[in-house]
Amino acid sequence: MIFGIDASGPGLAVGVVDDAPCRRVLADWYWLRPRTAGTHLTVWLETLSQQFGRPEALAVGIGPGSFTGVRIAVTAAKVLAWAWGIPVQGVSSLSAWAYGAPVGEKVLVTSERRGAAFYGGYYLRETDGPKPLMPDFPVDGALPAPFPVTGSVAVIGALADDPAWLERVGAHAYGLTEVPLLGSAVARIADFAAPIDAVRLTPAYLKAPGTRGSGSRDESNGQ
Amino acid sequence: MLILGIESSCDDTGVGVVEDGRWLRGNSRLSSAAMHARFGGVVPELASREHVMAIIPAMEAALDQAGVSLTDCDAFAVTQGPGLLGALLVGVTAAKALALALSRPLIGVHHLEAHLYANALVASIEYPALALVVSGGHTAIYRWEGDGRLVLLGDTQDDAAGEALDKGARILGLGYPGGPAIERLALSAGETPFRLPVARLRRPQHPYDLSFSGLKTALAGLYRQYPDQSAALAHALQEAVVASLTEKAVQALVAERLHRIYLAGGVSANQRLRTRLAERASEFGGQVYAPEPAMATDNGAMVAAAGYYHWRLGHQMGMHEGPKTPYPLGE
Amino acid sequence: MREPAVDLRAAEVTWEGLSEDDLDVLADVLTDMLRPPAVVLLTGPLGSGKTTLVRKVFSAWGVGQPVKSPTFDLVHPYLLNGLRLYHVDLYRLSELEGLESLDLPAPDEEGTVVVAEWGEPLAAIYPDHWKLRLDPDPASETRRIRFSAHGPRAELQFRAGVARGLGNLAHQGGGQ
Repeated sequence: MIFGIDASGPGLAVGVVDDAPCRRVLADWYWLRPRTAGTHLTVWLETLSQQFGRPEALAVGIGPGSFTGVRIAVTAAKVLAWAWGIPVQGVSSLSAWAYGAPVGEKVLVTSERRGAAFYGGYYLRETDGPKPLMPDFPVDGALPAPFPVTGSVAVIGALADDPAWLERVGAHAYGLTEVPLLGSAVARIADFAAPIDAVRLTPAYLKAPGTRGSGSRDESNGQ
Repeated sequence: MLILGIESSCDDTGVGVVEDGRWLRGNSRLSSAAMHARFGGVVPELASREHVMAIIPAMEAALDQAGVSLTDCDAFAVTQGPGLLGALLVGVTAAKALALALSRPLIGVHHLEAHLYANALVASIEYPALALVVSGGHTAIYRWEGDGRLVLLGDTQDDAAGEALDKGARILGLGYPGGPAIERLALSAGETPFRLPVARLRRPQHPYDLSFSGLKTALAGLYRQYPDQSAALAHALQEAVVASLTEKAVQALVAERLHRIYLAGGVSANQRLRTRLAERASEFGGQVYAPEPAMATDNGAMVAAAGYYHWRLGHQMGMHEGPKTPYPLGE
Repeated sequence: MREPAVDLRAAEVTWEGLSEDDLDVLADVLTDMLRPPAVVLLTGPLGSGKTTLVRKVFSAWGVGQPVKSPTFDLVHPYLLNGLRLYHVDLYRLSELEGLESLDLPAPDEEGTVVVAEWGEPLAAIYPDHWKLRLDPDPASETRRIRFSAHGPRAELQFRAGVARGLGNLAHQGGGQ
């Protein structure tokens, strides 16, 4: 049994899948509400572990997305895995969104939009799961190459219902507005052939904490 | 009762293991202060990122030092606030995950109260007492009636004492954190011809309130006039901060008819403050207690200690609870 | 305190001569005018009354606990009957990035109000916002207030607020 967690986007997701090769979904909880992970993630995990017992492994969406949401999910996953002594694996949160696209389609996942800034992930949804066509990327204003693309591409997430952005993605881009169930998707995608050491599990921020430049404020201003 | 305590309210990832709120078994502190130094202050995003990576290594080191395993811990305590929200969330989430994984009680503690309980690692606290918490983010005077019972007598109306030292250090071109740099430089000066103003607040209803924001303006003015006198100016700044804290604390000690002062917080490591406060308190029959300097800054052991006394009072933190900031204490 | 000067086209109010007590009147006007979701960016030098104003607005909204400056913690969220009020102080963030780690609401997020001291950098995240500047006049111990609405929703709220009688409210308050 595997528990999957994601809190990178506009909601909190926790799913439970079994050990069968197809990883059958036993539970899939999703609440489309901002800042829910801080209060509800451990409560949900507690309820689910009371119901299903301690999981054999944990999978977690490591972003990119909300810095805070990702940190809560990754911290909970790594500390639980460490305390329980079970394997943990991180997956791209955007690949979990891509899991919800139709098989055979190319999909652009867009998450955590603030104006013209958001995170993007470009995937091909194959039968056994989404395959990245390029590494996930941060956008601030303009899409990177190869966009705009000529072929058919599904757009999932924050830009799905924005015609202007769909045009920039490509002439045959179309929006998929339904939010996939990310908990089970994360648990299904995660590959436990080589689980990561819980200590080293790291969020994928894709942005440096860096400086904004510009001089310091005049401390004596107005005094 | 073995408690593991976690502190992550600012730039230190602290984990401590304490028995019965009194005996320190293990303590580990991983600080990202060096990374923040080049920015001249704490960068919240950087601090939060470091907590995520440091939390397990800090727990492993503290448990190792204590010679116990995680399953030997009877409860988990965590700083619930106040502090940087993103930073607090890492510690709170980790503590909740531990409580869930091991089915143990979880106790949330107030950051300033935890600082005060660093004194319990030296000797049992004797109540009632005056409590003076002085750090980079807080400066407050309490009447400490008993475990979990604090009454706020006064706090700073603007900058914290540690902030005044940090900003002063920045004006004098010293590094961050500024407190220790000011103290070292002040020592080299001996006497100083400079006097910086100690703010006198006209608030009869709040006689123990403090104010430090005027110091930086005065210091900047003097430094422009005397750019080669940084040591004497550091000395003057430290004297002004120490005098302000000492006078308010002693006034409160006398008015409240108390005989013990418990000092806590990062600035309590300042030797000049310890000496001067002890001198002035003894003139009124008062005694000053302070934690080991290593336990004065943010750490997990003080959280574990505070957690024990709150656990004895039956306090527990729910799984659905998050960080609290703002988090008033004794108001 | 004089009558506020309202410029409807610029969606801007200028108001001269407010004493510290007059900030109560200003707080009433703001409390009446702002409808969640709203973002207010406060500017003005140290000691101009930014925190005092936030305290008055939040208490008018029903925050019971003492409102203190979040200079050190940067963000203080208050939960209130389904509303989330954020008191932000970016003073310490002058040279730093890290806005994303503050976990502020998404633009137009339902039921949220953000009031930010030294809040200019947030204009990039929230295209729809209010600006409020306090300029103290040390000689008279009063301050001049200028506040303006930016973005379609804020401008709509501004005009609705003025139609409800901002002048009357201010006048009544000033006469007390």
